[in-house]
Amino acid sequence: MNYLLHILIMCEIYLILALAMNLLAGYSGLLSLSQAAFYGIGAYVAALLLIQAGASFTLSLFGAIAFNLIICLPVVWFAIRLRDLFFALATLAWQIIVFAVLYNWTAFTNGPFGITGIPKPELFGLYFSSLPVFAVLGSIITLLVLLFFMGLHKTPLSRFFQGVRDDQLAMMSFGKKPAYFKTLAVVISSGVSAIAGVLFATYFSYIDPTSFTLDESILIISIVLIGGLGTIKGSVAGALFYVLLPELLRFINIPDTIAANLRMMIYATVLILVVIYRPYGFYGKYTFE
Amino acid sequence: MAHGALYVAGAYAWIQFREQLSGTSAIIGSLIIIGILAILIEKLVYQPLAKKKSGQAITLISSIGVYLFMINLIALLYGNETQFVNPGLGSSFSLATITIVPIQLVQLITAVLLIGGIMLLTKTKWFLKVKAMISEETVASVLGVNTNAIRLWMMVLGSMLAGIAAILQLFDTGMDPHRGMTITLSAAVAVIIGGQGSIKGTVLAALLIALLQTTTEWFISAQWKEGLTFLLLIAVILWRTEGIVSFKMRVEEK
Repeated sequence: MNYLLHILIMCEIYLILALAMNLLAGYSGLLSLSQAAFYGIGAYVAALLLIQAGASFTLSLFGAIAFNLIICLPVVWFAIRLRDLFFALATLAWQIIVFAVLYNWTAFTNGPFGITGIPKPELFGLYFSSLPVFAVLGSIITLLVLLFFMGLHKTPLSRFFQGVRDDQLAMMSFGKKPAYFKTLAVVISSGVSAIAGVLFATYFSYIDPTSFTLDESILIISIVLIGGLGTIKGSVAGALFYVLLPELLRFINIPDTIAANLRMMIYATVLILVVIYRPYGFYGKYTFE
Repeated sequence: MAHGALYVAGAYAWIQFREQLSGTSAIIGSLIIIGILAILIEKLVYQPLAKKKSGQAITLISSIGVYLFMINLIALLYGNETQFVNPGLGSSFSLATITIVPIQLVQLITAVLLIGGIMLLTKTKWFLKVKAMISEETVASVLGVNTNAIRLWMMVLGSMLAGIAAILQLFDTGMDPHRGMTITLSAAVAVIIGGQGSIKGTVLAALLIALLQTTTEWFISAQWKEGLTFLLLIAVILWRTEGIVSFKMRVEEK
């Protein structure tokens, strides 16, 4: 039972990340390689607020989101100034810089040793320490995020994101500023990634920089690509696929030493096959040029 | 990005061959292996994508896929540990106040020879076709340039160069499967900073990056060198997209 709950929580974390990524890559056409940076910053800010400042769970959750809204400014700048490959490269550079800061600024982040003893969330006098209760909290938060995105994609705002993605010139001639919508997309996406970071930090009670590397960013973008760009169904399918596939490997008795590498090889193969033979993924509505 | 994997593959192929063959033939053998791998990647991944007229973003993603696949395969076969090799070139010697390790001398000579070779290659008539393909692929193929063959050759040559670099690196500081990523990213930074399509610019930028990395290692800390390299990349992308050495272009091409 605990095993299933663990899988459920992992699914929820990656679902939130995939939804945030899909807003950028799928709806706004921005191929960002720095999602793990936002995820990591969210986790670190929440952990530091909880431990160093002794803040409550709600306060650190909103603190992490607020901090991410500010720290994503460089990426906003890239999104406005750059396109396609150069945007991808700039965000890749940003990802590596953020990782270097998390890894090396030992005074604040404790460097490669990570932060231990992050307290479990406490809300309205309830203490979410045991696994089932945490799973309930995770589900509620994920459901809220899911509802937020479903609502968002029903508003005209979502159409504007897609308009910027498909034809910037046309949007400009209708008097809409592409820069404004790109900014909004990056800001929302990074804020939501912070929520996933907070869940991750409080669930494992321990974080270190190696959870937020470039590889993680690549995995998040491949979740969205495999699931399908530009649909909510796609993000859900991608996140489920990503978390459940390695669990299937566990059942066919593959030794742990090679399981990690084998898992990455399978993801890579699926990614290449999807890109070549099924550019829209499972449920996608959009594909990169 | 797949270059990073070929780079690592080169070093591991050499490790594999070393047991059966002598030093020189092991190097030639691993270069052949890399060439074959490059052809396979081009045929299986890049050419189907090129046929669909995919853009740069998709090519980047699929090359990341190739990289992840190969790196994890290598890690699966040889393990994640760093592999060290003693090249057996004798001990280091001093020249005035500088201490020189023989392998560094070999690296320098190889680099100069290869840069000279590439410079000569760019002067040949064949390279004119390459340039034609880079600037206008469809027109070049209409005029009878076999663009597929040229892409294949460029891929093979580029990967073999990466393989040579990998073997030299293996002799110097050892090799582990995950070293491919950082080194390829640094190389990509050099190409972008130097200006795409300009060998002089790339050499200059590579020197600049190497200098930047070693000075940060010296004055600040080895951990920050990647961060600074990529800060430089962001600066170049934002303010001088054409690189530090740029082609003279006709006005309508800009």
